[in-house]
Amino acid sequence: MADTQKPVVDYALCMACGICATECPLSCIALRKTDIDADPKAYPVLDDYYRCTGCTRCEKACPVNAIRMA
Amino acid sequence: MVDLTKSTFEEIEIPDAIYENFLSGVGLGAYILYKYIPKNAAPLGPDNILGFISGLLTGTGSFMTGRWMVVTKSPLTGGFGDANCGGNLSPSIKHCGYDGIFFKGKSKNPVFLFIDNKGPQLIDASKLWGQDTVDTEEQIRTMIPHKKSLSIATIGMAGENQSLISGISHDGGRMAARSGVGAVMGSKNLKALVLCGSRLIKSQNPEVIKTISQAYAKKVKASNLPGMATGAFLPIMGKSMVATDKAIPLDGMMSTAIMKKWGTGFGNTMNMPMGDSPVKNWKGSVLDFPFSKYRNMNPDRVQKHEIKKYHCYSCVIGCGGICDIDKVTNGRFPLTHKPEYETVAAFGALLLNKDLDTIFLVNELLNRGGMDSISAGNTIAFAMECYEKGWLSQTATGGLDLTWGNAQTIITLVEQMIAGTGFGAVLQHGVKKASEILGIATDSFAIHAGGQEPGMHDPRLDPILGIHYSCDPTPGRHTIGAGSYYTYMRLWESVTWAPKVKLGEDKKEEYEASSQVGLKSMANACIKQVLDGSGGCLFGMIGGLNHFKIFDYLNAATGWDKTADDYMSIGLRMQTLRQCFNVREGINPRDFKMNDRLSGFPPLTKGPLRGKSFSMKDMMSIHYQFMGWDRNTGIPTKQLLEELGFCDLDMEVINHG
Repeated sequence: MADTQKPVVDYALCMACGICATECPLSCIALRKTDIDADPKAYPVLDDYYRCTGCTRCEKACPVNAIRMA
Repeated sequence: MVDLTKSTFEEIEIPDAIYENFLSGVGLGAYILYKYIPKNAAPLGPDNILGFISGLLTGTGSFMTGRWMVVTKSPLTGGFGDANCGGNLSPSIKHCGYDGIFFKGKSKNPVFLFIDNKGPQLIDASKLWGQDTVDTEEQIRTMIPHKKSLSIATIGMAGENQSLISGISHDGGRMAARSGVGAVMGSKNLKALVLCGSRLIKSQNPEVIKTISQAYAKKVKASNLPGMATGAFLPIMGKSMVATDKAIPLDGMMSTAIMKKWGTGFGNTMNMPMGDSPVKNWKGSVLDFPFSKYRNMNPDRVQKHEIKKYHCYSCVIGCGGICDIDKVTNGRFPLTHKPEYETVAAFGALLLNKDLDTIFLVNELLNRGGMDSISAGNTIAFAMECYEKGWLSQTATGGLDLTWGNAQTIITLVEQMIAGTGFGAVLQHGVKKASEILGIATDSFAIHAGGQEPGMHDPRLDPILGIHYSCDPTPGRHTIGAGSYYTYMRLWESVTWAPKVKLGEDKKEEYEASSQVGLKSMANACIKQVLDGSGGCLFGMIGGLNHFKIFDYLNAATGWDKTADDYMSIGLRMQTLRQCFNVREGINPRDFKMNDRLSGFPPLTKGPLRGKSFSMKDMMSIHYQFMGWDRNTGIPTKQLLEELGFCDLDMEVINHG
């Protein structure tokens, strides 16, 4: 498990569109209101780190390339 | 296709040519309905088909394309019925490996359909019958524990009671509300559709789509209102917008910025001084519901309850919200989806109700009961006018005092309409049915178009809106087209024949049945079909097609090389097929003409819309003519059907004999 890469979101690019959360086959990504720039939008966070298999579907699906695996 | 009578499933392969001619979404739905529903089938009988369809662009990495469509033969109008809704059901349909899921027949017992990667199965829903939409979703999630969260569409009590104005709810209160689609689902004993697939959605050129999305994302991210812009500015903005009779083609991105801040709620106060919000069953004006009252609907006040934003799938605007209403409902309901403008207007100005807390409660009651808020508001307004005119006594209403603005009565009536009890039983099927029950003389103020209650935008301000209320195969829709939509979406930058709106153009011209109006209304109708075929959101389109490049998205997703004009022809084909469906079902398109009050007969004597009127009959003629339908009857002409290639599509089109 130590080698598995997990998604990291670049919130400067993220549009909070929720595509990654819907695409995730195990629903590991949750959309939450965060404190970033006092923006009330619900941004994606990797909610279940251990369930994530690093399948990269979120990375591929992100329309603005805001997700990279690290 | 799911046969609920036999509990069998059949996969239908759709030829590529159908997608090229009708796209997916409503277009595919219209094709299936036309082909598989026997002529003159009873809308609430087993022969009717109910379809849930995703958009062609859904899941391809395109933005603002996450809407799902419901299609059926409408029990409300007797013709084509569709409704669409956001949330995340649309990609879920594709994740299950389908473009659409259709139901025919009627189940003996209440069931719901569950589809995951292993395939579909019908599950007993007897325990869920009678539950509201939010509880149903919660219980299904407990019944089917799954690692991937479920996408659920369900009906509430109104749909179970086959109320003709009931809708289908998704994600705790997003509604595909119109055309009475909930009643059809109820008539089939189908409680819910539960999806949980995780197949990949493929597109032809994902990288091209990403490039388009990134450019659009940058623009949306940069469109923000200055911090000082509060809700207090909205009425002033509304006033200034009607201060001149000249058109000002603003960039649609302004609407995107407003949507990002307030959602549709900006109209709560802005549309009042404009005259766009109907008042007192469409016969009043802002003078009957002045600032001292409508300021309660200030979206900033709504926003105070908002605990988080709600975004539909693939949306970069995020116009929705979840509101905490624990206090305003005295602990009855904890949360609700932020009331949309339509709900606030229908239960505010239309009924002269100034109490925002009532609207929060009614919003949640309707979401849970699964009823259309526009139709419900219009129906109560109609009843209140009957009461005012003396057509209804307090005995007839079961002791309810239906004076304008009586908040308590409104709440009780909504509860009764959902349950189909008391006086609510008279109103639960909408204005047309209520008027039939109460007597023919109420017809003159029964506000509907072909049975469908109109949205909360006044055609006397925007006559092109009236054309779509009356001429669309699904009448009474505020979402098909309007002069203002046309101005904002800047279609003329991509479609060669679309007339350009010039700065300072006289808006008075829109009240005449001119060729300019015909072209604009035709363009509206066609582009809206393209949008509904793609799963696109109206608010993306109003933000400007110069930013939201739907035609480029479509080409990239499908690998086609079509021009904007080609896509508009597809839109025309889709719209024509829907009209053919209506004609086949024996509908006279002229019968869909909206109530004369909405075209200013008699004209209003007060307020911003005083004296405004136009000839709806002529407007309908000009629209029919430009669509290529018979100018007098509204039936698509043989020549048009040939041009659009219906004969090559293995379809038996209407008989023109």
